[in-house]
Parts: sequence; structure tokens; C-alpha cells
Amino acid sequence: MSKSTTKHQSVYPLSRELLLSCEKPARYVGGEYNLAPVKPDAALQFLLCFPDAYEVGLSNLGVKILYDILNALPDASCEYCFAPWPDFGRVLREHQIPLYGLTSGIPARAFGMLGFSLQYELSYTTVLYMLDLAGIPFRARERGEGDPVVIAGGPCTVNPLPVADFFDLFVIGDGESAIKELAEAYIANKRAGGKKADFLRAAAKVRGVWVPDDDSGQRSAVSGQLKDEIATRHSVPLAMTQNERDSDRNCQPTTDNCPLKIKRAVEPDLDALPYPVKPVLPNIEAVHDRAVVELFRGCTRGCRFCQAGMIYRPVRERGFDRCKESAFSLIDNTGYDELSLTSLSSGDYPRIRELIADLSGALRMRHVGLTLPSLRLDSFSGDFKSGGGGLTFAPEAGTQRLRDIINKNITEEEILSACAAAFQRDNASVKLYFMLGLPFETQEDIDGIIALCSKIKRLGKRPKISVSCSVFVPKPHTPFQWCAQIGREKAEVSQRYLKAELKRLGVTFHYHDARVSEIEAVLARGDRALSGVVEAVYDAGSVLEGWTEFFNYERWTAAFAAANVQPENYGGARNLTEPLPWDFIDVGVTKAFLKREYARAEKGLTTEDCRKTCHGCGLRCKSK
Amino acid sequence: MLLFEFEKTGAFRYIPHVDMLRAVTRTLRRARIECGYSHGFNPHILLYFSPPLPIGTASRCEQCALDCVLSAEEFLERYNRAAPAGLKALSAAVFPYPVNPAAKVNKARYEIVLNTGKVEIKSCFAALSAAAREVLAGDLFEVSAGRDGGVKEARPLLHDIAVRAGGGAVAVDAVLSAGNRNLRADRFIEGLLKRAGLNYTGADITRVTLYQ
Repeated sequence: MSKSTTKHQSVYPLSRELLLSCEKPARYVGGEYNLAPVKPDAALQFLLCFPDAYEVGLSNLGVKILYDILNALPDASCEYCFAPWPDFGRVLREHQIPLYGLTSGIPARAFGMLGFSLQYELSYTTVLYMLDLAGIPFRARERGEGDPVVIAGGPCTVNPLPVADFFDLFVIGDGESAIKELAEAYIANKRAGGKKADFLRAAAKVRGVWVPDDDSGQRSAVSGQLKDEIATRHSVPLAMTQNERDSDRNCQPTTDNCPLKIKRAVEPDLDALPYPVKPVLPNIEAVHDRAVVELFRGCTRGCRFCQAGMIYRPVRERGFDRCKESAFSLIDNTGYDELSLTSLSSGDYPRIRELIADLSGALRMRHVGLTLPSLRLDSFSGDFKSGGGGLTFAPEAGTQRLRDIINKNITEEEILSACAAAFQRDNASVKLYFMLGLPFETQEDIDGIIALCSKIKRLGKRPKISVSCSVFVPKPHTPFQWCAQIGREKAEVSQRYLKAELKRLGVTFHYHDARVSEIEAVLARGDRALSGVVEAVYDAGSVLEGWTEFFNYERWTAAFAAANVQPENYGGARNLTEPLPWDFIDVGVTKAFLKREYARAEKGLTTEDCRKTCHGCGLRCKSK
Repeated sequence: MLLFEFEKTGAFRYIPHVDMLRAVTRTLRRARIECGYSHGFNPHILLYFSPPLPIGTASRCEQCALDCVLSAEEFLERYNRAAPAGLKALSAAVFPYPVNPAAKVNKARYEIVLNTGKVEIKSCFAALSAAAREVLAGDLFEVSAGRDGGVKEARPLLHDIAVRAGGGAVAVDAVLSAGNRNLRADRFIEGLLKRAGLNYTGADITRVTLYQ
């Protein structure tokens, strides 16, 4: 990438001609309402990078939270950066314009730290796209003192191995305190004239931070010195043989007793943290473009397929008054006409009805609609809507047997009752989410989806029903992390079958490309051998793969073949006794608990909501 | 009814009309300005805008009318406190009758600045002036009709052209039809440059006045 701009020289103003040659030029010019002013003299210049398009990234609550926290620090300045659409990416390359911060136009490589939010596995090639456009070497070991520190956070970091070579460090878990500590460590190191390795040494002591060993062995000296300090700080027993140290170099322990675990960062009290009530408003239409109040983090329902339900435990609620204050501040500061109360299961917020009652009247006066997008079927009694014009429910499986296996804990009666209530309230359309390829699924379960839709259809006067079916992806740190993913061909057969049968019923059917799910499964349970594959797929031209039009399955199969990697090894079943590559990450939920839940799934036994009964997942939240 | 004039400059010159509507609506809501709403299942603020601009054209004369009980001064103060840079209100007036800028506006003046560079100003000015005189004297003036490569006859939509030079650039002031019969300024200047045998791109276009 270019050297035609000096490192600290803003690329603004961009040529009108170049901007107008691209779709949606408003993505690239800054000027959004509520942008924090840049502090050019701040010791830490932080670039918050979201590896997806502008209109997706600006809606993400996690980056809004970090943006606020960093800009509140007196000696830090944070800007946004999103992946350019391919047309603008070509313009940047052709005209040797480096990727830049949206507020100032300063090239990305001039920033001290780049922080990527890894929300989904198919964003990995887009990370490389952004590094490439920025002129920053992909691999951490290739970056020198003059290059930014490149870090990552987000849900994918619970198994960071496929991209470990590309990042200097990962923040696993809640980012609020961790990012502040990292910023402070960076600033202190800079003031002391320290080098990058000194910063990484300090960073590795922050709860939730993993500094990968690089594959050249150069960094092992850093982490070797740190192991004692980390063990002491995080109360992890330390007893490493030379063999274990060597295996720890690639974080693939040779035994199940991984001696050194990176503990996920957990914020115990959400009310003690600032909440972003002045979010940056997108210049153009964005996804989920509305005011958002996060009611709580974590979930107690214990759905066995759900990674979020495991890695965000324990439940931490925002206070009732705090939720209300945040709601009204957001409306005042943004002018949004829609407010969303979000969490993994909003109906479980203890005073949800009271909150809605308190908010509804005032919001109605201000012409603001209220939505609760993550409503479980058993929370819905028809008295509040889940979002949009119709209602959305997620039974996930077509039979009670399979719902019990996945621990969805919803009965057919509850499903039918919720749909009936919805139809009575003039919600004539219902959207249902299911998954194909769940563990222990049989043809009967697939037929169960059809039977359920048929029953729902009879509840209303010509109701509109649509079904959306994704393919199950086994995820790390869940009871199903040992399960095989359904083969692509089998998934496609089931999709065709459902499409035909549901069409006969007059039910609209949407489904995800099974090839996408196959690649997601490989990356989700991948290891460091995949970094070369990710790079090869990027080199072949893949970016923004979360968008259907850009996903290219053949590039992945070619890259697997060239690297001599067998993708079926990653998508296949795992032995319950074998160590797993991500075992070194301690999300709080123990492997023993996950194995117990898997065993219960095999027997079709459900596990009750842990608000009622503790099942010993490892977090011991009730004893605190 | 209150009619206010506002700018669409800076970053906002690149936002499409529908997003500009959204931005103005949100500004009114942040400013807590009580407006008239539509009825029905999904009420929205009733706003009446001047004819839309293509992406990339700035403006110092966009108009919006709404039902509002504030005085012009109070409106300007509250609106501008909540408005983003590039979308500020420039003036306001209260009318005792309904106003609809989209229906009333039929012409607009544009200021088009070409960055020719100092060396070429003289020759550019001469060529453009000659082309402008020729176009105004004649009956025919073709401009591109869209991305599909078609052309359309635009002379009836062109009302005046004045070419001037200064400050290291050549500027063209043009009065073009706007509203139901519309001539886009970017297509106008492209057509005029072609007529003049010139090849500049990246003209800086600003709508400066609306006429009824």
C-alpha cells in the first residue's frame, strides 16, 4: 500500500469525483452527529475498527460502549473505521489513499492502536482487507515499533486461534475495564519511552487479555516471564513442565489440565459503568438504527446450542432507574423514534412489565415506539410486541423431543398460545426461527417443523407465517462443542424438502447457504493452522463475506487444499476426553458442566433455568 | 405554517434525500419542536421539502415546511442548537396558509465551480463562455439522461448561464428547471463542458437559490 500520503497527513478532503464514483459515499466522509472531537495531542490515538460495512458497524452496541469509554479518557482519542465497500476499496488502492479514521481522515497506520471487533467468523478476511488497505503487515511478528498495536475483542475471541497470528493481543469478555486498563498501560509505556514488547508485557497482566505467542518463538520470552505474574494475579495454579511450556507455545495443551488459563473479563456491576447515551448517528440508513438500552448481560436459560448463553454468564442486570434514565437520555440526544430494550432474553428482566409501563406513556407522547427484539415465547403474552410489524419467535426445533435435547424449555402449547395471542392482537404475521442439523436430529424433527406450522396456520384468519432456518454450527464453550455439524449435502437435502413442504402449506421459507455455515463451523472450532487459510482466501479476493454476494466457497476449498487442511476435521465430532484447542480460555463455565449438559442432552433431559436452581456451571454466582 | 431554509453542505452533501429527511426529522425531535403528525397506524412528522438534490450537490437554500407554533426566531434558535454541522437552518418565516415547497418551486440557481488550475483559467473561461452563448442562442442542448447512457433534450429546461473567472477557478452560474420538470446541475455542466470541448471532472456544485 501507498506511501504517497505522509503517515499523519489527513486524506480529507477526498475528491468529489472519487466519492461520487462509489456507492453510498456518505459512508466515507465523517461528519456524523455526536462524533467525539478528535484530541490530536492525546498520547493514545485509538482506531476502533469494525470489519464490516459502515451501516452494520455503527449499530453495534459493543463498539459504541468502547468509543465512549476511550474518548472520556483525557489522554486518549478514539475514532471509527469501517470496511470500505469493494468499489471504494478499489478507489483507495488505485489512488494510493490509505484507510483512515472517519473523523479526522488520518491514516490508520498513524494510530497507536487498532482495535477490531470480531463479531462473526466470516469477518476474518475483512480484518486482513482493512490491514491491507491501511498498509499494516498482517502478522504480528512482521509489525515493528512504527506499526500500531493491533488488538481484537468481541465474541469470537473465546476461540481466537484461527486469527492469533494477526493480532498482538485479544480481549476476551467484557471490554469496559479491560480497554481502560490497556489504554492506561499504553499511555504509561509511551510516556516512559517503552517499546511495544514492554506494553505487551503490561497488557498481559490485564484480566481477560491474551497475548499470543508468535510462531517464531520470539514472543515466548515475554509470556514465559509473565506466566508467574499472571498466575498470581488470576489465581490460576501454575505447574508447567518443559513439555507443557513447549505445547503452550501454540496453546494446544497436551493434557486436559491446561496449566495456564486466560480468564474472561467480567464486569460485575453494569450500573457502575458508563452507558453510551450519545451514540454517533449514521449519515445513511443503518441496520437496527434505533436507541438501544441493554437491560442485562448473560442468560440463565441454558440453551445448549447457544454460545452467548454460556460466555456471557453470569446475569448482570442494569438497575430499573438506570434503564429508564438511559432510555430518555438516548431519545433526547439522538431524536430516534424507536427505542429497543435488548438482552439475550428481555422477558426475563425482573421488572420488565413495570419498565414497559413506565416508559410507554412518556414515549408515546414523544411519538417513540418501544420494541423488545429478544422475547422468548414463554415471555410473550401478547401484551408487548417484539419488534417491527409482525412477531418473531424462535422455537429452534420442530418437536418437543428435540427442544428438550437443546434445552429450549418451551412447549408446543406455549408456542401455539403465543401465536394465537399475537393473531388476536391484529399481528397477522409471525416469523419462526429453526435450526437444521441439531445434535440427535431425526427426520421426525424436520417433519415436526411442518406439523407445527400447520397447527399455527389454523389459529388465525389467513395468517402470514414465515420460517427461517439456519444450519446449526457447533460452538466452543457450549455443551455441543463436541458435536459434529451436519454435512452440507444433508443440510441441502433437508432445506429442499422443507422448502417444498412449506410451500404446499403456504408458508414462506428462508434458509441460509449451508456452505456458509460449513465455513463458520471450521473457523469457530479452528486452531492456528487456519491463519494461513484465512490469508489465502483473502489473497484470492474475498472480503465482506458476511454479505451473500461476496461469499465464495470455492476460495475456501482451494485454500484448504493448498494448506493441506481437512475442514471435515474441524466440523466433525470431537472425543469428550480429548483436549480442545480453546481449553486455555476460561469463560467461567467449566468443561465438567458442559459435559454434564451434553450427557443430559443425550438422554433428552432438560435443565431448569438457573435463576431457580443452581446447576454448578462453575461461576458460583449465587455464593457471591 | 413555518417554512425554513437550511444548508446541505459538508459531509451532508453526500447523503441521499431520504436520509436527509431522516436527519431533519431527528433534529426536530432532539430540539423538542412540536410538529404536526400524520394520522394512522404509524404516525410521522408531516414535512414538506423542496425538490430533492442528487448525491454530491450541496445547497444553501433547501426548504422545509411544517406545522409548528413557534415563532421564526425561536424555531431557528432551538433547531440550530440540535442540528448537525452541514444541516443548519439559515432562515425561517411563518405563513398563515399551507406552504408546499415541492409544489411551488420550479427553478433553481446553481453555482458550479471548476478547478481548472491557474494556467488554464483563461482558455477554459473563453471556451465555456462561447459554449454558453451558443447554447442560449440555440434551440438544442443535449445532456445525459442517466446511467443507461441515454440522452435527453434539455434546452427548454435551461433558463440562464453566466460564466465568470476568479480565485483560481472558473465558475458557472446557471438557472435550471427544478421540481416536476427538472434538469440536474451535474448533467447540465457535463453537457456544457462537452459542448465547449473541455474535459474537467469533479465540479463543485451548490444550489444557491430556489424560485417559484
